[in-house]
Amino acid sequence: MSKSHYDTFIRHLDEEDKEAAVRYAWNLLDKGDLSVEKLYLDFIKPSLNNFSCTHEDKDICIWKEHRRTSIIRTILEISYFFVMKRRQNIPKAGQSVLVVCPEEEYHEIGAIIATHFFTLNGYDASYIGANTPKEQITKAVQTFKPDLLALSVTNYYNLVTTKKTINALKDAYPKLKIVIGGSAFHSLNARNQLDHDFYIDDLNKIKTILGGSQR
Amino acid sequence: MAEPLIRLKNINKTYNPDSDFPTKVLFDINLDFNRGSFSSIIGQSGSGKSTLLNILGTLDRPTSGTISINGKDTASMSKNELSSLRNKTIGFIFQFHYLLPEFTALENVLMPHQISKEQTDAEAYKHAEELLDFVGLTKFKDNPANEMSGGQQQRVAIARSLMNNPDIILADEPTGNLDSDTTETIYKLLRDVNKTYDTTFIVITHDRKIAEKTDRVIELKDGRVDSDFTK
Repeated sequence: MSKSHYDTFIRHLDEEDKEAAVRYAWNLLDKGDLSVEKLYLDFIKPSLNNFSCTHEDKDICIWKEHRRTSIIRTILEISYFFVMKRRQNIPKAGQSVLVVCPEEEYHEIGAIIATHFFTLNGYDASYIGANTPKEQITKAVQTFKPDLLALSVTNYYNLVTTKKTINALKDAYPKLKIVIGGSAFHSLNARNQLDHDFYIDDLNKIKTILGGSQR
Repeated sequence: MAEPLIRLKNINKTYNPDSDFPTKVLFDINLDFNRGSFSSIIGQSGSGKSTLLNILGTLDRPTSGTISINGKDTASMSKNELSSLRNKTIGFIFQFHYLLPEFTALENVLMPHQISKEQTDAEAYKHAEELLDFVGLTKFKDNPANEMSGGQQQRVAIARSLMNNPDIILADEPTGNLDSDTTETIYKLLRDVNKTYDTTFIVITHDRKIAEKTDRVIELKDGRVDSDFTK
């Protein structure tokens, strides 16, 4: 990846030029200048994490951040085309995963990216959605019978619900492996209170799940 | 590491312990609160939140276990000693502000001082006026409490809770009776107090918008700490 590619991408986002940003990302992927993984980790992630807003009126900053997220969401959707293309040549992992955000968790970009990463690592991966109540997650597990259930959480307050969700899942499906990821889990205090099997703080670690038992 | 400002150790609480039907409401609660921290306690009705807050505020004693404030074990304190500790160290904010309706805002703010001291001197008046200024009510200081809006009354209650420069503020649903805009104003004010005076806050709330902004969320369930997450 060249710095000028990233700078151009960020400039389109700063200008809130959706068409230019989407077209630019598509071209980088299409020409093979950038892998899907690098687009996610080196372009999209910093573009969201480093978003800054100098407006005194914080409400303006909030809608501007939402606007950026909306552009990123479109880029994620078009990038799935390249995920599908790559998937044909990836050996099957022989495992399935459901990715979901628990109730009241509305930040789903990380969850969507994680789903694509799972797919690129050979998993049969499905994303359920944001703000999914415990009962619906349990029903989804009952229906799909996945090997892994991945929970993405950014707001630390949602750890309260996350804990209840995990406890309900572990009670009903003791063999189900729970994967957790997202900024809410950065604190060891949080992770220690949750009955999980894998903690993903770097999406490249997804490839270690299959063979390992890291926690 | 500094000793916590408040330490609860193996706190149990049973109402009517000697009756045929004792009701146990708290089970082995162990919690530390550091100086300047801003925590919330959440949980369903009947989970033991208010009982815990009463014990934290020394308004009630545990059936067993110890509570230490500033390193002092409160178990051995007499009623008068506890009352003095409470008045000097702890400020209370409730959902219903319990202002004296016909007294002015200033007189209400002065009340904790008047309870603890015999004379209200010029210095106390100055401090009360500063606190009313801090909560943005200087213009209303001479208004009777019953002629103020709900949000204004709660701000007077916050100023009152600060009158004796407490180390700790215990708030029981401080925004429970307010609309969402006023709730935001009151939360910002509590945060300002926390930052300006390094006051330790423990807030019971049902309001997600408040709880998610605090630095620590403790959930009580059936009288036990079910989760305790720190930001």
